[in-house]
Amino acid sequence: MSSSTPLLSVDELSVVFRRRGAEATRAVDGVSFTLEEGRVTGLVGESGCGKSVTSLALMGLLPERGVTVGGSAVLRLPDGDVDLLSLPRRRMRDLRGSQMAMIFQDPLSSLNPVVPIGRQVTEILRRHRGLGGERARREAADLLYRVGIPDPTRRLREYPHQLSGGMRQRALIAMAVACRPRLMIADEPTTALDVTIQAQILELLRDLVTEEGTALLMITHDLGVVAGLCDDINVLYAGRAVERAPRSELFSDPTHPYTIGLLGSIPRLDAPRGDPLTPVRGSVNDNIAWSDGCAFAPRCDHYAMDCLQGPPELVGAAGGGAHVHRCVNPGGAARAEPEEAAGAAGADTGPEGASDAETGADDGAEHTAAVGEDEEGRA
Amino acid sequence: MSLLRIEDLRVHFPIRRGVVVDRTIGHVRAVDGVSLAVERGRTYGLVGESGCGKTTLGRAVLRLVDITGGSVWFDGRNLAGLDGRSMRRERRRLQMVFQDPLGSLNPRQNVGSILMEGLRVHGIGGPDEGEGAPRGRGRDRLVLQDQRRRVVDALERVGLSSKALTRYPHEFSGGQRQRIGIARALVLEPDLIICDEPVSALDVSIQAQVLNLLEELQDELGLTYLVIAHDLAVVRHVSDVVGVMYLGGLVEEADSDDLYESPLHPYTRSLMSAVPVPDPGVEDARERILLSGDLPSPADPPSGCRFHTRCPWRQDDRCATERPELRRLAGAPETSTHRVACHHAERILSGQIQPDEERAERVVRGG
Repeated sequence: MSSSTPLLSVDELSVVFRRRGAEATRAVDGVSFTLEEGRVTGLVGESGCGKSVTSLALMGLLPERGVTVGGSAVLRLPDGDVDLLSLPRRRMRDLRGSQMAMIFQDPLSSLNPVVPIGRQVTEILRRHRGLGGERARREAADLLYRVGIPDPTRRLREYPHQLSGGMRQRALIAMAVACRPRLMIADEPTTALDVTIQAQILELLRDLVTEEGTALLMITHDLGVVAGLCDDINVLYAGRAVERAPRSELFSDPTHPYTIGLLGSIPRLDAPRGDPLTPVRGSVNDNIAWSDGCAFAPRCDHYAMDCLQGPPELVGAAGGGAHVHRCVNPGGAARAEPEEAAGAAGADTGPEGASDAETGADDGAEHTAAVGEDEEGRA
Repeated sequence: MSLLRIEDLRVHFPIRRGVVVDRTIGHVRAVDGVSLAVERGRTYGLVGESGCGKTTLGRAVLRLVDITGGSVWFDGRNLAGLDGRSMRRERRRLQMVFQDPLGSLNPRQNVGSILMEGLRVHGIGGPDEGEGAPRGRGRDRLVLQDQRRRVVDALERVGLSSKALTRYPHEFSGGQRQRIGIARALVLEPDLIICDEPVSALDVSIQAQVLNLLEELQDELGLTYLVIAHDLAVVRHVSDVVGVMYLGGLVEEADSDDLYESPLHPYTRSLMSAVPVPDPGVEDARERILLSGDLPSPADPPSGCRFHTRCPWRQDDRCATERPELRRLAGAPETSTHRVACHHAERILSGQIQPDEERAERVVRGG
């Protein structure tokens, strides 16, 4: 299935936001992964972990002022490889829409409200495939039909507000696949949708990948969505990948404490009721900087002194193979001293511990805002 | 006796048109004939997709929207018939936790003042008035002390410390804000808390913390919850009884485990099959019923069974003409609490009726 060289190799991608008078924020801090044709790669994590910023950096959609992007992202093209991060804007515009496309979370704000759907779709066909007039319209109707929009010729004349949420997302997907891109990035494509509509859209994405051989980068906070769709999964925490594995291994044998905590946080429809959830304690405000050690240490149950000896590396997990994690103490062989853990870690389940987390909220709140806390938008 | 009993509740919003002459040209039937009962100390979960009327139902119980018809019996009193003043008094015992913790907290009030407000409005706290009780300033001081104690107590129950009192909502993370929202409800010592999408704005790990907190509080204080959410997995996790809503009506109601074991209504089945499970093995193997199309408009709901336009099991008789009642399955024991609003539930369960492959966009079996 996988070809010898990946379609896209992202290596040590980093994104730093600088604001005058404030400390720089490392939103993405050395993320590496590869995308292959006909496969789905997932980036999973919670608000502020850097998953959306990663996708924006790859698409060249970050503002130039105040943002420093580092690392490389090499895209294999028929006429040679290019590094997306150092490409001139003009060349990037040619690639966007033709070779690579993106689907955003909120379909209403991604569509122009005062332009009919038809013109928004034909615009891409005109720009990248040189189609015009009747031919472009026919092709656009065909695209809408392919993504499951009934009565496409009528829909082409309608405005975005006349379409339902699911239809809008389908229209966006139609625009994304208009030029048969080799690379597609979907940033929380179903988060704003109802669950029955979500199932329809995921099915559509799955078909696109298997039929067209597109490489899909799926960005989501929902491990359930990942389980059904992705082949390889990267779990992100505070701007770095903390675990990477093929999906079967990640779910059957998660090794990083954060992944384990995430899985323990989700109420499962098929699990026996009555078992309390076992969430990660505290919140992202409790993080320490990666340069000081493991950013997750203050929230980790297996936290030991080793965790604070500089940044941990991505190393092979016990299962071996493609399964790697960023943890020096995965099994929790040595437990921390109780007092020490409480002092540094803050929020435990008891009221006392949580009040410690409280004190950290002051400086933490600003930090998360800068990273782009998107949790309010999640309906 | 049930703490809360809703009977044939209807909430219709008028659709108005015209600038000079205000004409009503129709109604959005947000809630259209819902009956349910919430037992004391238990959790009733109401689940459905956007536009099904679940939020409106929760608001109608608190009379935050006008009730068009039906009754809401709370501890023996019909809330639908109360005047404004008595309703406000009653709200001390019925509190609400909202979806968006930032939007439901006043950004200009600090946490202490947010939590005190309810106590002040309802005149809670302080020594009983009577012979020998202090009056005037002396009494005011005692009242304030008592209110402060109650507020700190509520904060500690939700895992925050008294340091939070002088802070403002924006200084807290999303999960902490939701805890403040819960503390605000708790401080009045209510009997019933209506939680409208209590965790859907939160990150997964924070979601679990808040869900666990709600359960702990219920165990400690004997609270009764009406939990309204779109996430079936969340609702099933916290609820004893689950009601599934579709387009203004209940289509199925059952004990939480029963509902998962044997969903009867076609809508419940498709909803359940659409909920992603974080397990590749389960995801690949399970049968998925994809519904075609979108929710019809509640301003012009389909005739007969509201779901018949999207139902893969639709039959030519009755479905389009007769609205099904919520009923027990034929042959089910008298004690069964599992009720479904479908004319053909028995034959669907036994497999006599098979889903129409064309009407369901696709029924995927195995992977």
